[in-house]
Amino acid sequence: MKYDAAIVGASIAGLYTGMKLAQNRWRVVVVDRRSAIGVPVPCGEATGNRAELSRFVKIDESWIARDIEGLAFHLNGAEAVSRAVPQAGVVLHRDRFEQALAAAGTSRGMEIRLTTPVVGLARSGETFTGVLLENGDDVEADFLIGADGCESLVGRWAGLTGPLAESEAFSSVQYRVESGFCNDGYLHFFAGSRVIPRGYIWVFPKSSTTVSVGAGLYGSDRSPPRAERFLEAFLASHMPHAARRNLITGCVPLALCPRRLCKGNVVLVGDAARQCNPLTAAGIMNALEAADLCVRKLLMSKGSTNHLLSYSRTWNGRPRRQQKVFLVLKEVFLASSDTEISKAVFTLQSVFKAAPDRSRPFRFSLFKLLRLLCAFFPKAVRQWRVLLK
Amino acid sequence: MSPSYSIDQARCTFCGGCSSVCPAQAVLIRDGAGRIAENCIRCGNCFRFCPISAVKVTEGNLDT
Repeated sequence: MKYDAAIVGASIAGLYTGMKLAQNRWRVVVVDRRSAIGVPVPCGEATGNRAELSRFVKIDESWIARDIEGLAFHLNGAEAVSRAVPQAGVVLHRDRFEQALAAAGTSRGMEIRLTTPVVGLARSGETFTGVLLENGDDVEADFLIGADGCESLVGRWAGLTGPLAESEAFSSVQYRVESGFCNDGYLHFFAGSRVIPRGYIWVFPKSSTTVSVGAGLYGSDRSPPRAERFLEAFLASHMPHAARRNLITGCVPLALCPRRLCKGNVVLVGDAARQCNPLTAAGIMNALEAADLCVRKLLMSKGSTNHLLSYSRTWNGRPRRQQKVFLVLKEVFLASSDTEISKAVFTLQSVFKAAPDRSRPFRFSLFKLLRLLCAFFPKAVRQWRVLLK
Repeated sequence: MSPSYSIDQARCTFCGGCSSVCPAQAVLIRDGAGRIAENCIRCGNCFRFCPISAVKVTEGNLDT
């Protein structure tokens, strides 16, 4: 059987794309090497607020773990800034969210094949005709969609992406911890050279009795110490007796997304297309936004690849420009001393003093980001080359 | 002698991070199993990346 679209990767970007295409009567198959949808959960699960999410899906309360009520930033153990931000976002039960997307897709005919590793792309001359499975079979499809996360193997096989450089990979490790520490509905971030150099630790509320505690390190070309080491030290000093569950690790691409997100009939979405925030390593809303755009272009493309180029063009506009600014901010953060970071946090507070649009509290305008860059002018200037990429 | 690497199955969480930084596509992650294939170029990216030290040096040493 030939499908209209074969999607590699049954995570948020892949499942959302598959669900929307299936709802538009496309014959869709989603393949993934994992044996279950949504497991293991690969992130801290904090994302945009209900208004933002409902732009893409009808919200089901069963997959909302907690509402985020504010943000707190701690530098070397001291609380530098704490700010209530009503409707800042939600912490998801990401496994349930992904399972809901999968169920919505399969109810409209989407096929999901789990425990099905993909080992390459099938070609006929210059055209990609399907994906090759490890068991020797192939899946034929008109469009091939790479939603296979940070590995981006589909992108690599199609020549759209390459391996991440060590400086482009954010490595993270997280535990679910039974604790009341910082369990106040705020997202807590801990940074500073005495806590975790070149990275941050997060404590996100998960339920009334549990928090997700994770450590993430921005990649470095020099051999970096392990994120796990900083997390263990943090847990030992702040929650020494708390029960830990669910160790997870992850990788987030911090590279700028490639200018070309498609080649012929191959398209990339989500982490596979490097559509993440290079400063915060957040990617859920970006994945939904990109997948939604990708679906709209695919629906216009039925039978031809003409409209796919406009997917790249549209993403190369505001989203990619914003990504560049965050990339500069990341470099500035890494090049800054604790004192400079402290100053930056206060600048950040004043930049966002005027309450933003409540439906999109984290939708930064380029103007605000540029103001923030100007606060670090000397360091930002050294990163100007990023803006030309 | 340049080092070779293997994945500690008991520690690995199969996140695919090592595979993301592997220039040779030599890390094969499957459900509940990860291994480093023969086309490994011994660059050590996987070893340096893994946040929980699940990639081990199995022969040689890191100083060569």
